[in-house]
This record gives sequence, C-alpha cells and structure tokens, in this order.
Amino acid sequence: MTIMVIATVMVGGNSIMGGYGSSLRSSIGAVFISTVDNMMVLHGYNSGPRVLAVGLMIVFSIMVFALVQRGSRSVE
Amino acid sequence: MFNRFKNWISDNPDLSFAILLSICVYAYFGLTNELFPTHRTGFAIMERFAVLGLVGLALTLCIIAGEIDLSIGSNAALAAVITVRFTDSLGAPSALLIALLVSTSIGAIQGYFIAYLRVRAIVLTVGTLMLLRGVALFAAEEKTVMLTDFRVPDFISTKMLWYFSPASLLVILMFIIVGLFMGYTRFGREIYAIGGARKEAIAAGISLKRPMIIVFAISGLCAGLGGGIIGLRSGTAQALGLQYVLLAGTVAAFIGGVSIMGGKGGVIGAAIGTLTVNFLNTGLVFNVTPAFMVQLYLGILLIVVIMFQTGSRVFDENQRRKQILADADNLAKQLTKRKQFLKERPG
Repeated sequence: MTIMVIATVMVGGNSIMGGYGSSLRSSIGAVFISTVDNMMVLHGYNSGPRVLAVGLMIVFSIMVFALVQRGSRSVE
Repeated sequence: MFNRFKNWISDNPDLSFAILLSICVYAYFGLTNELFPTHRTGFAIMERFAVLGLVGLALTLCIIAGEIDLSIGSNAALAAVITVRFTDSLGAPSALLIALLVSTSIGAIQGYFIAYLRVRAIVLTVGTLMLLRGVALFAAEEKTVMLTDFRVPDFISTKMLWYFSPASLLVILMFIIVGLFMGYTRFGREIYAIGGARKEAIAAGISLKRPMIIVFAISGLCAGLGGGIIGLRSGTAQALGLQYVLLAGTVAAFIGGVSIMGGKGGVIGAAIGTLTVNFLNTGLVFNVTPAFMVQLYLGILLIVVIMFQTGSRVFDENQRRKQILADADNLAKQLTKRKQFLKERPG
C-alpha cells in the first residue's frame, strides 16, 4: 500500500528530495496508474504483468524526469 | 596494552557500544535460561544469521555510501525463485551461480543509473522494488516453486563444527571478503568517501559511477546469496516472499552502529548488529514471549542505539568547539602579549 502511494507520487513527477512538486501532479499520477492497472485487469492480465507494468512506469518516469530536470539545470 | 584498548574505544565509540550491547543481550539470556548458551541454540542463531546477516551487510554498505537499496527484498525473492527453478535441471551450484549473476548485474545496473541520472537511490529503488517483484512473479509463473530433490536442503543445513552449516560458513566467508575489500582497497575507501563527504570526494576527483556501481553490485550479490540460501534451505520459493528482509536488515545495520549520515560504520558492525538482533529474537522465543513484545524490545534496542549515537556526536562536537575556543583564546593572549612587548620595547 505504502509502496503504491509512493509510486503514484513518483509517476506524477514530484521530487523526493523536496523543493518542488504539487498535489495536482500526484493526483494525475494516481489516476494514470489506476487507469492502467484497471485496464490490465479488464484485459485479463494476472498480478505478475500488472506489478511489472507499474514498476516499469515508475522506473521510466523517474528516468525521464531526472533527465529533463538535469537538462534544464545545465541550460541555466 | 590497556591504553591501546582505551584509544580503540574512543576511536570507534559506535562499534564498541554495539559490541557491548550484544554482549549484554547474550549475557542476559544466557543467565536467565540455561538452554540458551548451548551449541544447539548457537547453531540456530547462526542459521538465522546466514540470511539476515547478508541483508544487513548489503544495507550497511548502502548506508555507508549515503544511499539505501529498497529493492533488496525483491532482488532476493527473484534470486530464490531462479535458484529453486533451475536446481532440478542444472544442479544446485550452477543454479545458485545463475541467480547470483542475475542479482549482481541487476544491482550493478541500478548503481550505474543512480550515478548517471544523479538521482537519490531511494527514488530509483522504489521503482525497481516493484519492477523486480513483477519479474519474480513472471519467473515463478505466479506459483510457489518447489524442489523435487530434497538432498540439497539436507546438505545445506548439515551441522559442522557444532555451530556452523555450509550456508553460514559461506556467509562468514563473504563477510571476510567484503570486510577486507572495504578496509584495504582503494575502491572500498572510495565508497566511504562518497558517503561521508560526497561533494568533497567528487571535487577530489572520485567519479561517482564506480563506487556506486560497486556498492549496488555487492548489495545485489548479498541479496541474491541470501535469497538463494533461503530458497535452497526451505526447498520452496515464492515471488511475493521475503518482503520483511528490508526492514529487518535495516534494523540490524543501525544496531551495528552505521550512521544514517553515511561514511561511518563497517562490516564488523553489520555482523555484530545482526547477531544482537538474532540473540534478542531467539532469546525471547526461549522465554516464550509473544511476537508483538519482540517487536517492542527490538524498537527499544534501536532507540537506545540511536540515542547513544546522537549523544556521542553532540558530545564530540561540544569537545571540538571547546577546543577551538580555547585555541582562539590562547592565540589572542599571545597576540596581546606580543603587542605589549613591542610597545614597551625602547626605541
């Protein structure tokens, strides 16, 4: 449960180090994750692919946000 | 001799406190229960040490480097599933080797990405926690995998030298190797450097990538070995199992005297911390204590350790501040003396 909450916050693109982020981002992340999860349930996937998909989403979004953030910092 | 002992204690207050604590816990249970100091209990404690010690070691290294590896439980579960699935077809040693290769390379890849993306490890490993759990579910096909040949579990928990089994001997060997690596090689010292003072270390020319990859590779290796040992010992593996090891290992690492700020602590501390936790757990089971009381005592132990660490750090800082003030005073006195001397000098 805790992990899922942290996952939604991550997918929303909030920084875990603090400093920026918003509740809107977290809610978008929550909606996104639960939509994907629900769709996968409706398509008859088991828990394995679902956990894998959520994990992939988190890792992917962390990487994308980290790269975007680093890019904007190096421009400054 | 006595002076050297005293110096060692004042150099390593956290480690010596951890050792004192473990001796106290052992002595308490040894005195209150006559079955506790026997070698049979020692064997049981060492068996628990085999898995928890590895996780404690991995987390100690991560905390020394100023990071934390949350994916350790998932990595261990994946390794357990791989080991158990391949043991029937390939034999236990090669199955374990495959699992170790997989978990170590997963760790190294994590370390690489943490250093490359410059994110905190806690961010990325939350993701890999879920990801690896999913991979483990895939690998196990969402079932509990089981061995068919139970000679391997028999072998891995044979008693040797009263206290040890092949599993715990392997773990002790691992501890010695990692301890030597951390203490006496350049790579090990780099890990301490990026944990204690990361900016300074990078300014001094240490690249972040190499120590980070090494730390997470060792962490993955330990997780894989722990998972493999659990899988082989029980003969079964579940993809959703081993979630408790992360918290248990963190508690062991902190009781062993690793500092949350990074850069402090060591392999001996990890071993001592795990042993303390195991003494406490086993001793309370011997005294027929309910499970929630075990958690309570563990919490009390942790708070005592953290209070000691905070206290000793505050004491250290106060001493240092006093020293600096005294030095400044001395300097000021010398200067005024010199001024007076120059004034009074004729001509």
